[in-house]
Amino acid sequence: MEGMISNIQKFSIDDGPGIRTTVFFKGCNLHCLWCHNPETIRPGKDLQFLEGKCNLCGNCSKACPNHVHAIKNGERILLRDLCESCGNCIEHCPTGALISTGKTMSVEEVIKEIEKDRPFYETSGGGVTLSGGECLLQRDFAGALLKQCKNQDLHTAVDTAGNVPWKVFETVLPYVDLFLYDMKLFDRNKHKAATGVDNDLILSNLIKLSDIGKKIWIRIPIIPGINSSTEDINETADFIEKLKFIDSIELLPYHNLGEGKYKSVGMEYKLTSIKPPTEELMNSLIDIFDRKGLNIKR
Amino acid sequence: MFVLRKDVFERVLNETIEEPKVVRLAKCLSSFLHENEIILSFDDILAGHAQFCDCTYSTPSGALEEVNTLFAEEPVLEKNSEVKAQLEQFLIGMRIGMYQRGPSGHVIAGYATILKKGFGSLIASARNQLNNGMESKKDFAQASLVICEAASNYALRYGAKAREIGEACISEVYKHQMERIITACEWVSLNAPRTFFEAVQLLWITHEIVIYEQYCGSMSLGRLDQYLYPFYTKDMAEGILTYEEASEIIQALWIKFGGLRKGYQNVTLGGYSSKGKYEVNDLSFICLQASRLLMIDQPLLSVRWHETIPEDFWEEIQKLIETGIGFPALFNDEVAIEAKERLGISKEDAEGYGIVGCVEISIPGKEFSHTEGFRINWAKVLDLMLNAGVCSITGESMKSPYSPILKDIKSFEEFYMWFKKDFFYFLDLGMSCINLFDKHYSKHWPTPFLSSTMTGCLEKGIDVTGGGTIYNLTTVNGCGMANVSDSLAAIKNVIYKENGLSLTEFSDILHNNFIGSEKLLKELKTKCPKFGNDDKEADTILKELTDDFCIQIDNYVNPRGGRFQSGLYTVETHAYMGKLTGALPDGRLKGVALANALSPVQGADVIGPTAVIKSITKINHRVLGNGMVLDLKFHPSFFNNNKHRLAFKYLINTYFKLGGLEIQFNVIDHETLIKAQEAPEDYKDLIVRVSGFSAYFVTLDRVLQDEIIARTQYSTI
Repeated sequence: MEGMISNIQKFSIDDGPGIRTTVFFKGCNLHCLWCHNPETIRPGKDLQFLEGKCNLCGNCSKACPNHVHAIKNGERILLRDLCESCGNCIEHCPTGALISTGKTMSVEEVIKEIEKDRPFYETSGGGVTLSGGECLLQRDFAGALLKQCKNQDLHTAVDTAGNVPWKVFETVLPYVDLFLYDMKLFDRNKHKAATGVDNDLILSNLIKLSDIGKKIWIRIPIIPGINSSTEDINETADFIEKLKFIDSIELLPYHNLGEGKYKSVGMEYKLTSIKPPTEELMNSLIDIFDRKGLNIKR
Repeated sequence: MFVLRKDVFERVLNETIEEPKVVRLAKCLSSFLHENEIILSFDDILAGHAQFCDCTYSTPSGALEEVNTLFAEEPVLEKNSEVKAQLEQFLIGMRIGMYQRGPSGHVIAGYATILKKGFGSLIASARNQLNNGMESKKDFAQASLVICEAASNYALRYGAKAREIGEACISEVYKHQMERIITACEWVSLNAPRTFFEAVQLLWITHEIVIYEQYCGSMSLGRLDQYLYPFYTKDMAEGILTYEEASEIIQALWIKFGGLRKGYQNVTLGGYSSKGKYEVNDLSFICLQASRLLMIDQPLLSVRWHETIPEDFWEEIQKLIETGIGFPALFNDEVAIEAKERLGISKEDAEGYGIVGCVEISIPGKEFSHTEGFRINWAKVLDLMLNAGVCSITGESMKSPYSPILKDIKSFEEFYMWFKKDFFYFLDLGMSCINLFDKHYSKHWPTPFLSSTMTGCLEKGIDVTGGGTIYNLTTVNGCGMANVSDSLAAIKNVIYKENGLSLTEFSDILHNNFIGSEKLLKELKTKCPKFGNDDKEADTILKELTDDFCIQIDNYVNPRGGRFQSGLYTVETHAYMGKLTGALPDGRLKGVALANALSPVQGADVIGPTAVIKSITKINHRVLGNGMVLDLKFHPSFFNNNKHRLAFKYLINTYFKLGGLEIQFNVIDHETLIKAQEAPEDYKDLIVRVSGFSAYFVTLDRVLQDEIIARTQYSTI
């Protein structure tokens, strides 16, 4: 069985406890305006063009069978719609300006990579995290990978937005030690406006997960002007308060460090005017959870 | 009056022509100590001033002088064509960046002994040996007597100067400080110190003289926190010293070390003993805190790591690392001790090890091993192979007996065999030559003061350079290790495959420094396996070569009855030797610095620090008696939250658990990032923490880079 993987990242220290390896899956069924991994949104292989490295040599257009690449009047043209992911241009690019954003890997191949860092997991209480994109969209592959991880006594975490049928959770549940669960917005309509989907399924899955006692870290991105009002956060905190038990909550301040990637994968970044939240704002929002006696990370 | 050491030495050598060299040099140094200007400032807390001076006459001026000395001592050798040819090749090797030699210095003097005994005791022992000892030991005894008396007098000179200044002092504080110096200097001129201050004062005076004797750098202090501790506890118990006062004295000492910039004066802290537990005390903390306060390049700090290292000591250590100053380097006690024991050092002595210079493992007061005595450039061997034995920079020829024609090498295995043959040929040649130099070294460049502090020299009547102390090893270091393994991997992948380039064509391309071969260059840099990525192919080659390197070195013994030991670190030589090395098969251009120590080639490691650690610990560090270096770079913002700080500790713990010997850190500020933006090729191995992931700075988009540069002011990410 094979999965479509964007990247396997070692020394991940913000994706669960200890030192971990994070497996980033391709494909996501949310389209959050602030996403900093746009190259993982589409499910297949993407062509990524790093403009700064292009030396206009034209090797790509000579190698391409579909006329995707051209240089006209010293300008670089890229017609993505014609691309069939053959990879020829990537092969012939002398500077590495053209790269692929996805590759198919088998469970064995992924496990082999993960196993390399076992000594670090053992020292630090770490393990492997599945992320992306939305790893649960590749249910069978994710399930097989997680199962094998547990067979080999690895701690497993799943970083998910939760927007998949509960059945999918049921498949992977026995093999997951920790869920890193994203909550973008509580209000249903605002959620749809910001991410492209409503949050009915997301919230109901979260309730079920906490009901059965799974270990959950809730992560809330704070995007100024979109979900950062005290009203938004209060609603979210109220909801969490009613859940059976949540191990911890973390507020993740918005950053636009992924902005540069949008152009490179032929997408448009829509949040150019937003700035990261101030320390004061973050602290005031953290206080809201504190006052409710919830376990919020500072 | 300021005098040039060189002038004093020249004059006194002229006056003592008939005497044994060891006595002559003792008299030279003695005169220098009598005549040189004493520098003391009215606000000095501690007496002492490290004045930069030359080391003329105390060390060979170069390998040529050593060759000429050898021929003068053994004329028959000059007539031996084989030996003559070897030595000539050695000199060529020195000129073309194949070899490097720095025979002296690099030792931990017997400071602990001096603090226990005092100069008076040394003088008495020397006098006793001179009057009653065996005839053959009298030359050394005389030299020791001369120089120890001069050292004693030197302390008095400081005391006298302090008295002069103290009399003119108006401020009570300064007057009091001068009085303390006077009392101390007058007492320690003959006696063992009674107080912490006196101990530090005597320590510095001894060190100052050790440096003047043969300033070759790397005269290191050993386990200062351990041997000063009895004085500290006694004073504390008597209520005459506080933690703060001790801190101030150590800071004053640090500033004295600072007067010798780039002096490689290494102080070792902490350490495990199998007799008890991890040995750490207030002074260990005081030393770390002093460095964090002063932020100067001396002394170098080394910490001996063990899994029982206390949490509060670790906190203090990590705080210092995070300043980006580069200290302390961390050493794995278990591995270091084993590395020395296998060379014949006793368990007890091995457990007392300290660090010399950069990273050399050494037994304080008991070991003399020429730790920079010889270094061989692995990459130069390849350079010569692919250029018909001619140095591509200087045009000089240095041929091995093999020299096959390139087109006759039909497989990678054949090429690899050829490399090993040439490599061991040049290695053996170097080791044989330095053994020849070793035979007569002591007769010409003895160091009687240093030797007087070292265990065994007076008893045997033999200078430390002649094998007078307990452990007398010879050292062979390496340079260009990762460049070679990456280059061999490149040859395997690019030459010996279907439709691959021929070796002859490749040799031409290298000769032309890759001009016109940009596509090949990219392939070599991006498609061939590189050391540092936890990749089996690249890592296996380096592991095999280092194993063989160490085994070869294991086979040698020196004229002083000691074994050879190996080290895999490079100081700055990777730049110096790199300048003399042509383009290499891994895609490195001509004249560029070689890999830093045993670390991956700069920028070749693209997975992350865990992969670097995995790769480097596939090599056996337990046979590296002279140490090694793994250098990791972090951005200061990485340490901005406690989770990251903890991960950092786990990273190090895992490295040591996997058998790593040494690790050290660079923590870079944003100015460097700006430069990294402008010249990313030079900063490919810089790791930054972005948000939820760590990444190589130069792989990131410009916008991202800008944000990170600005980001050093944020505390929220």
